[in-house]
Amino acid sequence: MEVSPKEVKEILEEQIITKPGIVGVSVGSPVKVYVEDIETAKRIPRYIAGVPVEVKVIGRVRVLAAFTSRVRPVLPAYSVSHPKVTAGTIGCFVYDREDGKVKLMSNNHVIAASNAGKYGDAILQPGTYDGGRLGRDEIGYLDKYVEIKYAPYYNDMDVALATIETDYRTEIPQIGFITGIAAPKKDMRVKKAGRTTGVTESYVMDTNATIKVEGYDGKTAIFRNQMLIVQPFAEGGDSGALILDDRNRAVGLLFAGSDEVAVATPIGRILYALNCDIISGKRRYGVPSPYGLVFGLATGIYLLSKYL
Amino acid sequence: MQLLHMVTIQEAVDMFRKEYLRRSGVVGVSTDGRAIIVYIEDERVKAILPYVYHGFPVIPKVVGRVTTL
Repeated sequence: MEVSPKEVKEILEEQIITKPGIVGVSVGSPVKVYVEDIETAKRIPRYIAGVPVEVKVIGRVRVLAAFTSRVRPVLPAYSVSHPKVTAGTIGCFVYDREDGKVKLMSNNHVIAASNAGKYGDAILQPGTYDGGRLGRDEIGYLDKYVEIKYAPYYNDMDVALATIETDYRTEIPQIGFITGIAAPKKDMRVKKAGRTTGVTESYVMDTNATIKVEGYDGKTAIFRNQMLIVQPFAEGGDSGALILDDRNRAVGLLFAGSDEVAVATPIGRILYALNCDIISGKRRYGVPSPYGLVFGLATGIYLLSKYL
Repeated sequence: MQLLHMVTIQEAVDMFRKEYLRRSGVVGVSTDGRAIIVYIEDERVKAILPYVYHGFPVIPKVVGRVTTL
């Protein structure tokens, strides 16, 4: 009896694809069944409804391009870039204490084109590599960045802020809301949600490294006081992702890496330098403002001089 | 009697950084509080590193080339 392709497809979907170890199927002649390992391959029948079956072992399939699509409201972890840059990741949204506006945080080399960007340049979501185009995908404008200085000078961070001119949500996909800020510690378990590799976990191996980073328009920049995370954790396009601990407290901002380590700047230093707070839902998390510290110190000295 | 100045681990790291970070293949410098940790591109770079620097052990770790992601 002749079996139609539709009937074969139904058999595959109902009886085969749901079994553990089956990765995928393809209807044709022969029918192709993709499996994770040899043991699973041995359990697949040679014929389904009289149609020959070809089994291929391809291993476990994981999502590679997790957050590359256009998304509105705009979310952390998704693709973003300056028009002259390929793509990076939206780290989080912050409240700028200087002008009271909400802004998007990522790296200088992602949304400020390694110092080539100018105030007011459009920021695209998704990034250009993921199809973002001027005139259609602008979500805000470049607002401020910490300039990258090239070797032999030292840098503290690779960070930039952009205004956000469209709806946004602060919850990180597949992770949740940020619950605070924490300093990195050796062996601390960390996770991130990034444009390329999605949600990954690893641990901190160094909290105070000085590292030479290549890739700034062909130049090298040296960064001091950086945290290193054991790979596999991040790949190209994940730059800008916020790194969190297992309690969802923000720990660092990812910006570089090699085959063995990923490099990030402790988030407390970034918030202090830019005088801003992370926004998560209706809450704000920051570090004491440099102006607040000066004001507090001056007030303390004044009171001491008055009463002593 | 001449008093010897004991170099702290942080002073040794700072001196090591100035002397070695500019060299090709040396990617980074850090410390675990007891030794100087040197991040290098590959095994061959070990040849240019000392075993001890101002009394502190030097521990090389191969991490490859670090680039923006």
